[in-house]
Amino acid sequence: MEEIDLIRYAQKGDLDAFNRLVLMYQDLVYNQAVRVLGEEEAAQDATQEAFISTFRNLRNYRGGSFRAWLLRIVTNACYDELRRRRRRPSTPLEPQDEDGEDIESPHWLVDPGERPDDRIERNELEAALQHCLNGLPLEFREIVILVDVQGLDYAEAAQAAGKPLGTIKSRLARARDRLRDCLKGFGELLPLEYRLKGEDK
Amino acid sequence: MKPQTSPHDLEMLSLYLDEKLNPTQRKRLEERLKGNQALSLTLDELRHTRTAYRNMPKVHSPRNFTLTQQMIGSGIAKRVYPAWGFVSALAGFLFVLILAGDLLGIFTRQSRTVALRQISDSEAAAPAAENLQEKSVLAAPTSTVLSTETPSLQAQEAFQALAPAANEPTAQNTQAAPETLAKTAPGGAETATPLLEGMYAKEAPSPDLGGSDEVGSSGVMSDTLRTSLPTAPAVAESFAQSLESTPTPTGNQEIPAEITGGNEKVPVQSVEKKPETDSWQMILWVLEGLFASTAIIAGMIVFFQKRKIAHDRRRG
Repeated sequence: MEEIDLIRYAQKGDLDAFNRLVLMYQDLVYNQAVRVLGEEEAAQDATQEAFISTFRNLRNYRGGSFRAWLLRIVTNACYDELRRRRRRPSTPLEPQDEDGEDIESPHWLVDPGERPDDRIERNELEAALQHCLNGLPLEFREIVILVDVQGLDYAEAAQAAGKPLGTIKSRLARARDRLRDCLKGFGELLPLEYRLKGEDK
Repeated sequence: MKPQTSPHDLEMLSLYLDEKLNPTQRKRLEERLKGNQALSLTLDELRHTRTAYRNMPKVHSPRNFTLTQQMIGSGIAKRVYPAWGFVSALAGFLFVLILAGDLLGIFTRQSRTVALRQISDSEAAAPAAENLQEKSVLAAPTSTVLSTETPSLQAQEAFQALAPAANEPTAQNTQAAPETLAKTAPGGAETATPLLEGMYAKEAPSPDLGGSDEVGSSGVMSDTLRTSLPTAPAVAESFAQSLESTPTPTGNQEIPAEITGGNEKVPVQSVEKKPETDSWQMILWVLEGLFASTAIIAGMIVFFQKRKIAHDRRRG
């Protein structure tokens, strides 16, 4: 069944049709939540909240990119989560092993086929990139995730962010500039192909 | 050291990386890049940054986020308060109505002001016309009295109505005009009648009335015409009636002494303009107040209900 048919059925209240849409888009939505929030536990909550909200407000969907519409909802859910966290700051519980030691990476992120060196390198790189993302103001972070991480074009990003195209362009440029500055501090962590010019010498 | 790049250049470089520049812009930027080392370095750094984030690992969802009936409760959110949509529409309509009413009121007031101003202007012009009439048309005191007693437009029109009557020397006209003049001028009836006789005889050489050109030119009125002419008091009476029916905004007036000859002061009864209690205006104001308060209350109810719904949803 086509996406548009699934949306139409879901709009009539068909939960099965909607759940098929969920399965199609859950990785994208969760990825957006993780990148915006920088935290997996909160990202799961935001993703679930976003899907519930999507189902409830499906009647308001008036065509256009469904992906962009979903991303907008999940981004708003992330903003709500960040606002909540700002009101009630809490220390996240790190996953621990049987001896009570903190686990660096939860088991679901471990790829069994990956070599330990590669994993460390990947984790370090990812951590560096996420660290720089977290340092961005929310409005810049949202745009750079939509365009560079999720791969949306400018028009879709504008729809997802609910901002004009010009705003998307200028915010993206400024976000990239800030990320460039931030990543210079992680030069030694970045793989050769990612290192900035002149740093690998 | 970070090369200094202007925000505009940064945006152009970013657009260049995403191939969003038009051919002209791209060519211009490429020319600049050839000669500007710092700009070229910035472009490289931005390209690496973009590549790093484009290759950022995609995080897969740790579990399925499919929904259950329990999660969604009653299903797709129907409009919880459909009536509020109607109330919002009603409030909007009432608001427009109030605005339209206000505009209408403004225009009505403006047109009323303009009309009043025109009346007052014509009243101001009346003495000038009076002077003219005094000097050129009628030398007799009765004519002065006649013109000074016409302060309003209607009265002036009534006076002017006498002129065509004189130009059409039928039996009726010749009856009406002298009577009016005679009654308006106390003590002047005797002078008015011969004067009018002369005028009518000059301008009305109708063979039906027994007049002739010779008679008209000599100023002697024929017997038939003389008997058909009304008396001056009758003319004055009809004119006084027309004056009474005309309200004047100037209040009570007295005929100047030079007109009455100083013998007596004849007060001219004029209708005093009372403050017009515009009942329609009052009704409009009351309705406006009702509409405005209804719109405000409805708007507030909708606002608070929507806030409450959003709050409940957030709390789950």
